[in-house]
This record gives sequence, C-alpha cells and structure tokens, in this order.
Amino acid sequence: ETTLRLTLQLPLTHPLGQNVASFKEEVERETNGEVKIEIFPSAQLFKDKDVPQAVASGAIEMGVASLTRFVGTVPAVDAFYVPFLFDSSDKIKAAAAPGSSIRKILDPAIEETGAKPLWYQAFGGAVVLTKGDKPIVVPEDAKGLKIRSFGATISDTIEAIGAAPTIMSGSKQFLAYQNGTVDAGMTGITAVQSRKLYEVMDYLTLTNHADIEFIVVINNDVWKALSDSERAIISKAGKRVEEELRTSIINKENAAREFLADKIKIIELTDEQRAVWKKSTASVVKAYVERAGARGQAIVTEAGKL
Amino acid sequence: MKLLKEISKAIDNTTRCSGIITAWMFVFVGFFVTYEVVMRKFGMPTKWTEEFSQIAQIWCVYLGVSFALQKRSLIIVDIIGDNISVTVRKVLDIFALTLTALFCILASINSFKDIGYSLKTSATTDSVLAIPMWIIQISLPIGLGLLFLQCISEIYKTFTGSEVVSSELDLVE
Amino acid sequence: MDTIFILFALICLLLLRVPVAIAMASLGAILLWLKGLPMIMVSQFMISGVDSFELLAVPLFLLMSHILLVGGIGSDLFRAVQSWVGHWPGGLAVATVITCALFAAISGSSVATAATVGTVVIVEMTQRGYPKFFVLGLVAAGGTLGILIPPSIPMIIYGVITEASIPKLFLAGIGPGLFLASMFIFYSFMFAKFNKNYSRSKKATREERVTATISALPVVFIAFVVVGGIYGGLFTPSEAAGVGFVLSLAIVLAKRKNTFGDIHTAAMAAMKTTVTILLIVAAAALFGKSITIYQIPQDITAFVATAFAEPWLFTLIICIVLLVMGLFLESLSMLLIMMPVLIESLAPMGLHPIWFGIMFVIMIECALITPPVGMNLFVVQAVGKAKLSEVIQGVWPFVLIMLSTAVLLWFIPGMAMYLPYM
Ligand code: NA
Ligand code: NA
Repeated sequence: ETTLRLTLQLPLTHPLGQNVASFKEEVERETNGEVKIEIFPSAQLFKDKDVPQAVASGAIEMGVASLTRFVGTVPAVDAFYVPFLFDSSDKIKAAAAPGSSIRKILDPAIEETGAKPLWYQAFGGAVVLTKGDKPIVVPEDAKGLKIRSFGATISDTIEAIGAAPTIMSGSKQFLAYQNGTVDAGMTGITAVQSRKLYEVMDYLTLTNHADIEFIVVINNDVWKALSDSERAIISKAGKRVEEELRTSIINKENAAREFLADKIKIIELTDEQRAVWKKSTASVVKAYVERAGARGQAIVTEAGKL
Repeated sequence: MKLLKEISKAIDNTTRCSGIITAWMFVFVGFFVTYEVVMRKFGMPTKWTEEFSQIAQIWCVYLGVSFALQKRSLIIVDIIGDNISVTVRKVLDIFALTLTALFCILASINSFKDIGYSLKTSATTDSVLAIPMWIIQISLPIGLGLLFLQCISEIYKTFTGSEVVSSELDLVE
Repeated sequence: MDTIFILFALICLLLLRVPVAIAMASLGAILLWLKGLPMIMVSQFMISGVDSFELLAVPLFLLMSHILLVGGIGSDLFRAVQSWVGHWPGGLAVATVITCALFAAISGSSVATAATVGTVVIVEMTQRGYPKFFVLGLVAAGGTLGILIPPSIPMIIYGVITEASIPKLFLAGIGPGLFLASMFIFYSFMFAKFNKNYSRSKKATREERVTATISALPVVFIAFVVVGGIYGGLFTPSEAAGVGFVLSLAIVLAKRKNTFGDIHTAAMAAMKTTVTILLIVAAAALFGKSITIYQIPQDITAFVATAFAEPWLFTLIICIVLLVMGLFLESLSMLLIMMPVLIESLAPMGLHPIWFGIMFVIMIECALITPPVGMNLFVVQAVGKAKLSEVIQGVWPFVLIMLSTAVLLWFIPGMAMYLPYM
C-alpha cells in the first residue's frame, strides 16, 4: 500500500479542488485502495511558491501549484502569460493539451527539476480590475496607475502599458484593493468570485490577455517506484480529470460572469480595443524570450504554428 | 580548561557580532521599506524591496537567534519558577541546551540536502529578481550553526558556573 | 490517542524549561520522524514559517517603539494622556486599552498590536505604581483587539473560506470589539479602585496639561501619518511600520539629545525581542504542519461537525476545541483547517456565518492569551522582560471577560449583527 500526499493551494470546494478529489476517487477505486491519496487543501502544508521545491525535493509526494511558480527553475513556463501569445480559447486549448507541441517543450524541462507533470488544470483567462470612476478599458487608461501583478511576465505587461506593477500574492489582494494600496489589479475571473474581490472593486475588464494554468506534479522518484499498472491508472485518471476541467472551464467562467453581473461592472473589449491591447503589449514577448532562452524561442515559434 | 574558556569566549564574541549585524540589518530594512513607499508615491515602485525585506527577515531571525540564547531571552514557560534547587536548575538547563543543540544538527543536515537540491536545479525565486534559492536557505544552517556553538558555550558556562545563567531581565548592554 | 500523547509531551517539555520555540520545533521534528516522513520538511517549514511580508510589521514596529523609548518620546504621549486622565482611578490603564483599540484599527495582527503598545506602556505604567502582572495581562489582552476590530487578517481568510461578506464581517467585529474594550476599561477602573497598593496621580494643572500635550505632538504626528497613510491607501501596515520607524528616528535625531550608542541600544533591544518572537512563529509552523500531517486537527473538526446536532452544544464544543487547538496551532491554521469542514454544519443548524465568524475570532483571541502556549503571552513576556508566570497571573481576568463576551454573543447575536444588517 502506498500513500501519496498531495498539497493543494485552494480549498477542496473550489473547482480545482474538486478536480483533484475526482482524481483521488478514481485512483483509489482502480487500484483497490493500494494507492491512497491524501489531500491537504487550503495551503495547510506548503505555500504556493514553495510547492515546486517541496515536490521535487521529495518533502511531499504530489502537489498542485500555479504553473508560473516553476519559473524559478524553468523560465519558459511563463509562455501562457505572454500577452495574446495564444489569442483564442481554441489556441489555448491546443497549447495546453497533453502532448501538444508546447507541452513537449515544457513538460520534460519541468520533469528535469525532479517533479513530473501529471496534468494541467485550466483556471481561465486574466482580467483587469479597477476601482473608482475611471475603468481601464484600453491601455491608455492605465497610464501612471499602480497595478497588482502576479509574476515577472505579467509585470512586463503592466510596464508595457505605462503602469507600475506591484507583485503581491492572491490573498493580499483584498486589503490592498480596499485600502487603495494599488489602483488596479490583474487576476483570474474565477478568483474575483472566490476571493470576493467584487466587494472592493468597481470594474472588471475582460482583457483575456493571459491564460492562467495550474499544474499537478509528482515527485520523480516516487513516480518511478510505482508499478507499471499503478502508473497507468494514475495517468489515465489524470488525463480524464484534465479534459473534464478543460471542457468545463468556459462554463465555469460564464457562471462566474453571471454571478458577478450584478456585483461589479463588467466591460467587454471590442475587436478594435483588443487590437490596441495587442499592439501596446507586443514588446513583452522579447523580454520573455530573453529570460526563457532557447526553450522560450521554440515555444514562441510553435505558438505561431497553432 | 583554559583552552575551553578561550573557545567559549571566542564563541560569545562571534555571537555578539552576528547580533550586531542582525540588529542593523533590521534598521536597513526599515529604510528600504520606507524608500519603496516614497518611490511608489512618485509612480516608480521598486521591484526589489518587498522580496529583499522578506529575505532579510529570514536571515535576521536565524542570525540573531544565537544572540538571543546568549542573553537567555529565548522564551521559557517558567511555571515551576524559583521553587527548584540550583542543581536541578542546572540539570534542566543542560537538558534544554542539549536538545537545542541536537535540533540544530538535525535541521542543518536537512537544510544542506535542500540547498544541494537547489544548487543542482539552479532554482531561483519566482520573482523578477530571480534570487538563487540557496541564498535564502543557507541562512538556516549558518544561524543554527552559530546557535549550536552558543549552546556549547552555554553548557560550558553552566558546568563551570563561570557566568550567571539566570534570565537576563534588563536592557541589552 | 495521538492527540493526548502530543499534548502531554509538549507540556512536559515546556515544564522542563525547554524554550518554547525549541520544544515545538523538536517535537514537530520527532513527529515527522516517527511517521517516517522526509526530514527535509524540517528545514523547509522553518524557512517558510518566517517568509512573510506581513510579519515584517513586528520588527519594524518594535524598532519604532524602541527608538521612541530611548528618545524619551514614547513616554511623552503617556505623560500627556496622563495629565488629562491620570487622576482618574486606573487612568493609565484606560489609556492603554484605548491605545490598543486605536492601534487595532490600523493593524490586522494581534502580535503586532501587543508588541507595539507593550513597548511603550509597560515600563511607564509599572514605574507609576501599577502592579506588573496587571500591566502585562492588560497589554496581552488589549493586543488581541487587533483581530476583532477591523481590519483583520483572520476575518478576510474567514470570508474567503465561508463566502461570507468581508465588509460585513468587519462591521460585525466593531460592536464586540468596542464592547470588549469597554469591559477591559471597566475592569481596569475596578482594579484600580479596589487595589490598595495603587496610588493615584495628582490632578495636573492646566499649564502642566498644555506643556505635556505640546511635547507629545511629535508622537501624535507619527501616529497620524501611520494611521492616515494606511487609510489613505499610501501603504500597507508593514510599510507603515517602516515609515513610522524612519519618522521616529528623524524626530529623535532632530532633538539632538541622543547619541549613536542610544540608537544602537534600541536596535539591539528590538532585534532581540523580534528574534525570540519570530523563532516561535517558525517553530509553531513546523509543529502545526506536523500535526496536520497526522490529521489531528482535521479528525477532531470532522468529529465535532458530525457528532453534535444541537446548535448550542455544537458552538460550545467548537469553542472548547478552539481553546485546546490554540495550544498547537496559530490562528490562521485553525481557520484554514477547521472552517472548510465546519461551514457545512452552520446552515442546517441555523447559525449565521457572520455571527459564527465573530465567535470564532473571539475564541482565537482567547487562545492567544491562554497558557501554556499563547503568542500574545510570549510577546508581552519578551517586550516586558517579565516571567511568563507574571503574565499568566495578570491575564486570567481578561480571559474570563472574553469568555463572558462569547457567552453574551450567544444570547445577544445583535452585538455583532446589528451594524452589518441595520
Ligand atoms: Na485590526
Ligand atoms: Na493558548
């Protein structure tokens, strides 16, 4: 009997948590309880940023973290944050699919660190939140503002539109928005609902300039120590829940939009406005390739072919 | 015996130095945090102060801990208080110091495993600064290493009774 | 069974005069080892436990208070307050509670509140004849107002877990927060009135009051910048601590009364206190995570959530569990581990999530000041350079006040619910 402990940032009730719970259920059933999966939700054990090292060093067997947390060892993972690199939901779906040309570059690189990617969890697109009476609709509106960021590439994007990025973790957003420590923020639309950010912000602009992915990893040595049949069961279960989440994410985002409709003013971009966003953030890809090197270049090339 | 005394003295001086460094590092952190507030007011927030302050804080805690032991200000639940004889007090003191020293060894060894892993994968923080992880992690074995040495010095002092070991209740210095 | 063994082991180590941090850290490590878990967790948890920008408020506010202290400014404010209310019975104690409540309105953390107020008032009050145990208990309890009076970090986490409105939670905290503060004031008043050893100060003359008030202006200015800056969105509480420190240093240096040596002394004292507090925070992280891996808090919570169907019994058991769990876990861990399980039981029992949140926070406050393990006890001990037994001697009346407030909140839910739903 093997116990695989899994550290999770979000509560089990969150769609990403339910996704992991469904995986656990299938694995335990198919292995007749030979492989037990013990979930530690709500960052009880490890903070988001500590997950890559915790899993790779074997402190814990499995973990879920946002993909950008691997940027410390694999800078290329920020590809999904390069603005409009994958500029439609079909392209995102194609890029994040198991065995895609993009993941053929990313996954082995992550595995080299000692943590093997099992599946990606779709979290949805990035949106812009603003407070006050002047929402950010086009990049011009953001000039001179302080904007919450959640990673190096997102910060580049914010600088590209003439604003000042302030990196802060998801849990600090609420107070920072309420107090006005930052004027605006970037985050995922589902987080606006789950973190209750609509209580302190007035406008939500659906820019979808970046795609937020979470990733489930397992320690390499633990993986190798499993039997062939156990590995097959885990892979199969992972693949199933990955697809389920990917196909339902559009519904979940729509549900979030519906929920938020009377709580915050939602702004959709016209095609012209989207084009302006694209144009003013075009420089970010250069900075990304500079950081991510050959792998980053390869991903940008492959993205063009999607 | 004279050698032991010299060693104990040398350890105490090292600890004092690390204490002074720690104290002033906190002062600098205070300035950096304020600098960030001012720069942000002018629309030019820095990318380094928050992360730098956080790393400095980790370093400070572990660099300063041996000083706190030397001054006997690590917090103790002294419910049994003064109702015990000097000998019992000494025995308990040496038990606590030994446990502390053992913990230092255990945590340091495992910390080196962690650092070895970070070096192997050249892991950095996930921020703009991309600080190598080992720079943060090595604060633990260095700090606890100093704490281990200070434990040795305190055990020596407790045995020889060369210094009063009751809690120091007045201001530093 | 595990729970009782661990509780017993922890209390034994503490009674044997092992430093709190070492007791928790080594017990945490032993627990991991007994389960055959990777010991690399020990170092990872010790680092991540103090890897927080919020905690930076502790060293920086301590630095600020110590600088003000060596500059003789910390006592200026007190002298001013004292010139106005010092002749009342318990005047300074009243001023301390008010200071705690005001500070709570800018800080989301109890530890920071107790540390900051403690550095300023403990020396001053004991010098003026208040029994030390009373002063220590007052500051330890007053500090817990930090998480009940908004803003409050635990309330934000609670709101996120339970999907309760955070602004409503903040509003709901005000009533019980002010009630607790006024009960503390009332107790101080009674204590002073019936305490024979306490000698009241003479009523100050008009001139004395004016002089004292003018000399307190620099501190009032610093407080204004710190509080105003947070509300005006200029900076976060941790940053406010940094700004407050730099301002204090500037004012102290401008008075040209202090030498470099004084500043050095202040820095050393602040560092020593910070280290002792943050080391416990790191060790508590290691210990708390170890017992989480043992599933202890999870099992207890799941048991309570299913075993008790009567609302009053359920609430009572939760309160007891929180008091015991408060020995092991810091407040945020308790919230993160227990609330996701408990939230399911609230609606069927007709308990309002906002009301329950306030109850939860009051019990967390209690856990912070109950021995043998309570962060505020440790903070006050470190800041006041006292023995833990003195703090405990002073704190128990306040524990009783808090528990009665919890009982009152059960019978009069409006204490919390009136403001958010009026
Ligand atoms: Na507060
Ligand atoms: Na307690």
